[in-house]
Amino acid sequence: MIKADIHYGEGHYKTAVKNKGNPFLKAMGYSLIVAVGLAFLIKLSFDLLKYHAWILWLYGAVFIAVNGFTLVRLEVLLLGVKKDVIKTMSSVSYSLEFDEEELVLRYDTKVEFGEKHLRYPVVKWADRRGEWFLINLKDNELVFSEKELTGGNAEELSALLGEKLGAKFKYVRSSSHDKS
Amino acid sequence: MIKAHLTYTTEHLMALAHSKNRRTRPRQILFRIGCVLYFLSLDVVLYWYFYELKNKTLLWALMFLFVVSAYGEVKKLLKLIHLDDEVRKLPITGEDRIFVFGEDEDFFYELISDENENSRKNFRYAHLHKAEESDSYFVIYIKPELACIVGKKDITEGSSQELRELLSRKLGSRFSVRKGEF
Repeated sequence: MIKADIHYGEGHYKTAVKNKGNPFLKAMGYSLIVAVGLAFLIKLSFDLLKYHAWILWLYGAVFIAVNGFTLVRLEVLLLGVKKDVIKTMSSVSYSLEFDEEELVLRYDTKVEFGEKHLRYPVVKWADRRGEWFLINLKDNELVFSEKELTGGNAEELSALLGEKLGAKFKYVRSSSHDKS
Repeated sequence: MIKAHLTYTTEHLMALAHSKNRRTRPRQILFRIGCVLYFLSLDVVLYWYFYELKNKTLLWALMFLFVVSAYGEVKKLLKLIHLDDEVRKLPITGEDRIFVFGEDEDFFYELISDENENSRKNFRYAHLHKAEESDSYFVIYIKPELACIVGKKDITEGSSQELRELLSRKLGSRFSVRKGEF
């Protein structure tokens, strides 16, 4: 039987986040939109300085205040989420067993503990990226490294997932996180 | 021991949505209305003062930016106002759920079963976020963003009175009762 004992850490977090798209890129995108808006405003204010400059500067100040505040909140939120995820994940331990019919997930967190028996159709998709495996269930995403396999090996697990999931399983041979 | 046997329906999700948004919804609606008015007034005032400009390209661009922002806020506002319609769009997964609340344990558990899943989830009372009761439902928040919903008519063993006393004893001030519906 193929088994894995998972203790979440920063490597798991980085792999999971990389898969979702970096949230900091979204914040950067938002910053860009705000910067373009401000550039328009400043250019306009210089063009129109002789008319009603004070109104434009007032708009500029309100615009900077509102968007700056939102941006700061967004980035603080993202940093907070990262810290929270690492903290939460670090306190979680999972044990996974893969057999022919189902995968058995046992977990224990501060709030919740339990056991789930899930048949393979529940799996939305699974990826193997370098040394990392990602398994997306309907309400949960599991991330673990081949080093955490305590029974069987990565090749056996890939073969099983390929057989059970078909096109829902992808094997990407290289991953930048192999180096970390 | 108190047991409840149920499958989540739109009514359960509706109870959760109203419980979750009850306190913050009026504030959120007011905030969104403020945002829409802010962006629209920027547009109106900008145009009022600068419509005489020969080259209006920058003015149009700026006004377009504010209109797009106002449109985004209107969409968020409509979602808040039509909360029930938003909930009705949510998919119902249809698993069979049994909640068991023991007198002596320091946790309650949920058994979930359908053709692809058999699970037992145990939730420790000491670390639950909070619980709320209305005339028809108990909503037990595991975390602020995750909750179990138990309808009073879903209770098959014990009574809602017993569940109220149990939650009150286990959660203390984190349990609250609301007259009427959420």
